[in-house]
Amino acid sequence: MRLLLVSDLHYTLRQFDWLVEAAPDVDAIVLAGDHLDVSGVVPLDVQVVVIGRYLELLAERTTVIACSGNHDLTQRDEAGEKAAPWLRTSRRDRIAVDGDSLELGGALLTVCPWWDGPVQRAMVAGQLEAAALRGVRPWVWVYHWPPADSPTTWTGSRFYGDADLSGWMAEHHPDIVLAGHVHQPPFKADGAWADRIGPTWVFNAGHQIGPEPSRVLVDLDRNEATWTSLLGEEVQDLRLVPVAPRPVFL
Amino acid sequence: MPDLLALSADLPTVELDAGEIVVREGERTGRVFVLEHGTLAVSRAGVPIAEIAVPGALVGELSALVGDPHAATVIAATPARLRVADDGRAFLESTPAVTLLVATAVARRLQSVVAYLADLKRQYAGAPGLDMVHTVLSQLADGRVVAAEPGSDREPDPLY
Repeated sequence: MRLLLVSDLHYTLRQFDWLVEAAPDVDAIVLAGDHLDVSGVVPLDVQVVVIGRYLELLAERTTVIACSGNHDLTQRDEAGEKAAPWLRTSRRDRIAVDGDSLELGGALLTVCPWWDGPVQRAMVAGQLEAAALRGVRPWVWVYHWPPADSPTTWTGSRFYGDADLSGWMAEHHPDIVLAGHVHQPPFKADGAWADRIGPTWVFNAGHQIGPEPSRVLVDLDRNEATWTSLLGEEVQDLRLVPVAPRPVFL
Repeated sequence: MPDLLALSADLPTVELDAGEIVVREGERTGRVFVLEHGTLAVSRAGVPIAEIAVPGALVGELSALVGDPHAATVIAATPARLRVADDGRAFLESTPAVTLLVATAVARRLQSVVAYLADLKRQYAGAPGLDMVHTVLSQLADGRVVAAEPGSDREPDPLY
């Protein structure tokens, strides 16, 4: 099974167009959050309509898996916590969103929402516990923010990861975490697009300008991940230790 | 300026259970509703369009204004309470404040459309993707887009 990971497209329409073209070649496209851009000139409620249509276009071509990121929050929920209800409204055949766990190609994919307060955090914990009981491997998490102290969160000056995710990974030992949020790591010295933490592979494709998104193609049949960006292409054998971080933009 | 909740305080209320219909696409009721609490699901031709959960949100106002049948079906997604004006147009004309609030909401929708089109011209230059403009404009014209409250409490930095 081939999963194509992108994240942080931030309403870059040409990159969404590129995805529509690429979709038929993979078994699923994973959009790991921040589909919208809170700093963009287009109002967020309009962006929601456009991205919702893109999700439909993608779903006409492959399975779509999309979690929310911090840019995707548009309303407060009943607990007063910021949330992305529009993304849940986008759920339909071949579109899995926040809160879903689906089996695809023998793997279990759990789609975690961005949590913005204690109530939602508890819901994510419950979602992971419930998915763990299904006992399906490989288990793939889609979660916007990579774990703490990983080179996939290296900004160039600090590690900027999610300690809560680290705790859940230590508890449940997923096989793969597909993330985003921190744009720079693959492009920075000492940063990385791939990391191995215990039994878990963590991927963050990063964010780049231009018509094509930086992306990671995870091929579960070949045990291989490939990162493609403006810098070219790198391949990671998932049976081996991660390739050493390398200086690229110093 | 007072909001619609304050301006509609004298209207009778209706309690709905989840699944009950507020208005049905294609029907002409003349009613206008003001949401007190709960979540409403909006669909058109069976396709989900939006959810309405903001207290004070209007339902049926465009139909009352232009005299057309309701353009979408609105269903209570959760238990909900709404205020109802059986003569919606009379309610919209009842005070200048109500009329101004409705006009402001319509103007905001127009601003959104203009901003969207202007940005399309900037981001595209005859490239593919413009096919969806009609779809997007149709959804925006439905007027069911809820004003967003951007940002995260947990991650306030928009650079991430």
